[in-house]
Amino acid sequence: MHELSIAKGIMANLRPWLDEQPESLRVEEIVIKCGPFRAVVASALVAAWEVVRAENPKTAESRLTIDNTSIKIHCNDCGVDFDARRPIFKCRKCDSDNLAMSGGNELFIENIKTNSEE
Amino acid sequence: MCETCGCGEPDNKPEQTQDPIGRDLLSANDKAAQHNREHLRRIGAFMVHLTSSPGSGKTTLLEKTVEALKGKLSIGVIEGDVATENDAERMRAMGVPSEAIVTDGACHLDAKQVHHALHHLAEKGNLDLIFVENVGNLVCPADFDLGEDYRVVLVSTAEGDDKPEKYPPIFRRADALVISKTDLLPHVDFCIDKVKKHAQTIAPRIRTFEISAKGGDGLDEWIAWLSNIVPAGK
Repeated sequence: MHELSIAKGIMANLRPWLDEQPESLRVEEIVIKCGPFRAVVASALVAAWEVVRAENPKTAESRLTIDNTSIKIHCNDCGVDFDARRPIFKCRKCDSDNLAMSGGNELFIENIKTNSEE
Repeated sequence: MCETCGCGEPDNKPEQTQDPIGRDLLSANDKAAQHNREHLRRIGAFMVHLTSSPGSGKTTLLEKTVEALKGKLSIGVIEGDVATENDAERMRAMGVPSEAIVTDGACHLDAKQVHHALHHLAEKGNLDLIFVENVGNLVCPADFDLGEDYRVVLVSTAEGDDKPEKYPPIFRRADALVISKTDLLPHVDFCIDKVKKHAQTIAPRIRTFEISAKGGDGLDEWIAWLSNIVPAGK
């Protein structure tokens, strides 16, 4: 359940910004960019956020949306590039196991939607 | 300031920039981890983080490592566990300065917990090499930098050879892979080449060791590597 630590990380990153916002501001949605190498269970992070968000009235009704990214995979034998939602170990084109992976390490707030945008 | 030594305790807060967009969600932990690295440089010690599923042989490997490096390097250990100090007690029984972090249910260590343990260890003498043994778990510790210089993942032959495929994040940030309990190979279906290949696909620069801590096979190479990562003159 390291997702609770990550949910606390969301609040820690938001706090200085929230403190500067008017009292009437309400966060409606927070979009989290999340890569497959960060071992985050989306439903567990959403559940953890529903506990942590109550710390601040400006986030108390906010919902969390997870934007899952992909890993970029390159086959060193046939040269094909493709995206995958999780690591794979056989080339989809030539079945080679000589692959290189990049990306997939993202874990950050991508966007915040508030009532001030309505 | 740090309650223990006044070194400036990490505050577990991210940098105080207002824009929260794009900053890693574990940046506060990363900041504390960087503080640990600076602390380690000040006390002249190097830190190796051992992580694996429960029962892969981390503590037994540590016991054999301490025996092999006795008189050569001064070693301390930080033992993370959910509910006991059993592993720390095993190390204390060997005369090794040890700090236990009992997490009371938490599934991973974080950098701030390690910071406190580092201070308590430093009170017990000058150390060259500090091991942190994380809570047994192949998922949750993956994301948490503890300030280590090297991260080592263990996979025992009894666990099966599909661990890199099943738990890729823990291997992604690892510097070394120890395939442990190789003395059990005649009794289990475990392909060492498969594990190494998959781990190297996830982490191309990962170094691999094949060790039977019980029988002693492969320990020499491990000990030589550890001896080399601690700078000469220590």
